[in-house]
Amino acid sequence: MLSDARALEGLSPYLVATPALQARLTERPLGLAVPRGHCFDPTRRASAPFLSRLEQLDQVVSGPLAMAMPRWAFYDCAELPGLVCGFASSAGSVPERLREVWPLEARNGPVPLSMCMAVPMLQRDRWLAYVLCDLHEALPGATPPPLRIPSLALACDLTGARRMQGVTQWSSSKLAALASFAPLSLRAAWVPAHSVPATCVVEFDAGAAAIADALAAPQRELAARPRWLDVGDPSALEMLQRELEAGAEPSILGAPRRRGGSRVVPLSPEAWEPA
Amino acid sequence: MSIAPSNPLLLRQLQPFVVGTADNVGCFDMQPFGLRVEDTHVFDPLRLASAPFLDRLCALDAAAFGPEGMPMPRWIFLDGGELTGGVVGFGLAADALPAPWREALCVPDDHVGLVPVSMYIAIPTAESGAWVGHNLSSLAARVRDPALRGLGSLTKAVALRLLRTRTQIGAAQWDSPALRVHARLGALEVISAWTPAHGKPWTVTYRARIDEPALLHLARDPRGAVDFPAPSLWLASDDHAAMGMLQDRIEAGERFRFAGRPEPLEGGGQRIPLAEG
Repeated sequence: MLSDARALEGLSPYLVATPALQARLTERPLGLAVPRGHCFDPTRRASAPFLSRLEQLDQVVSGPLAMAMPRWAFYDCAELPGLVCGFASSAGSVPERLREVWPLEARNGPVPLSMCMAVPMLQRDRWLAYVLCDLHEALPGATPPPLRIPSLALACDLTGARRMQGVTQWSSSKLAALASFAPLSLRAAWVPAHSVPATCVVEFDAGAAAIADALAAPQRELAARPRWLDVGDPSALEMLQRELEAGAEPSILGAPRRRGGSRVVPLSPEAWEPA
Repeated sequence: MSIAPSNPLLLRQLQPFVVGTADNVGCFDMQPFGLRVEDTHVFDPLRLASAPFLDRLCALDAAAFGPEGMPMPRWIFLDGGELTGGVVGFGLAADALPAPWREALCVPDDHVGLVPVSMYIAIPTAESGAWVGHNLSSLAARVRDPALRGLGSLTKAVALRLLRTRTQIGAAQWDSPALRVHARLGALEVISAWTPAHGKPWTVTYRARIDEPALLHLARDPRGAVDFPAPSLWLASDDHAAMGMLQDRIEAGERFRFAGRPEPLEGGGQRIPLAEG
């Protein structure tokens, strides 16, 4: 299913989930075997070193944004109810620069280079992906190619979700990874409940065809002439939120891009008329 | 069946609330034990109008756990509970709050509407009816007021009913007084006794089977009842070595259950009765 297997050369998927959940998941996500040594039960002691590496990965990527997760939240909010998955390298083949920035406590075992957290939602076959990161984001050039899209695809396929929700900041590069699954139905555009109100909540088709499309052509041409949303403009985001609450059903059609000095996102044209 | 906690002031004075998306709220039992959740006390985290109330939930979390506790970053409230599952609790109108409660919760003078004084946050799992409970907060932990006695227990019981829970999974520190609340559900199965995946490895992960007598017992309703096996060992809440040995035995295939509620020890800490099998 992966179109560019070279991107993942030397990497293997990993999975953190309770045995009860592991038994429900797809056995060969994206057609890849998850090596036995890359499956971790968070309630077992032997998993601790790998879980520490996940925490380190989160610190490297999210720490500078003041959004690193406390270790207890990894456990309570992801590992117990849902899963953490991504791609890992063997400790021996981690690039040297990465070792300098991210000292490893051990010299063996898998080292996670990307991470996606997914938690089941109340509606059957719907999951929430709420942490999606890779080391390429924090250390461009020092690591393998970007792994967020394959990691999100891995989560979609593992869970068998038909619909996946995602949460991200409008300014985050994570939005481009989510947009590989476009169109994204917008559920919220301005979220005061979040530490960063300029956050969006989206939902998308996570079935096999959507996964294949996302992996094959993450940056698709826009089929329709979009309306462009300036995501650096809080008043525009809040206005869009009010439209949503009034019943509008806009979609994000593709990845963010630069226009002039602004970062803009293409929305479905019928979605939004500025006042 | 209705519910009658041993402290009648709780239901006389406080009103239930729910935080959840419209999709999720549609799946809940919005009249748990016959208690009606007013429409104005249902808060959608994806709506602008919910923001002032959600601010107050963060304040409750901070007040309940205190500076030494594990306050939850605001975004984890959203991603880790409000979107996937729900938050259920009790509150009181701002203009009816006793002064010590208002002070403990740092309620601004201009706040109007409901102020939460307790909450239970739960996340669904892939197993239908099975939830992970990840936060139980009560103002009773901060303010010594007889009117609040039993609030945490009642909140958890009502929340589990509202969420239509059949199995509850949770994690708590062995030395946490909250474990006495959780153990009111009966013979909790110990999934892990020493949990390095948690920031505090002296954490027990447990699973509880939920039925009506257990919920009533949790809520301190005299009609509630649970069964415990006879204890075969006692675990002191500061004995990390014993927790590690217990974990080794669990990982080797042995099973343990709570054989009663933790007993406070003179000088601090508690001891927990356990049974094999």
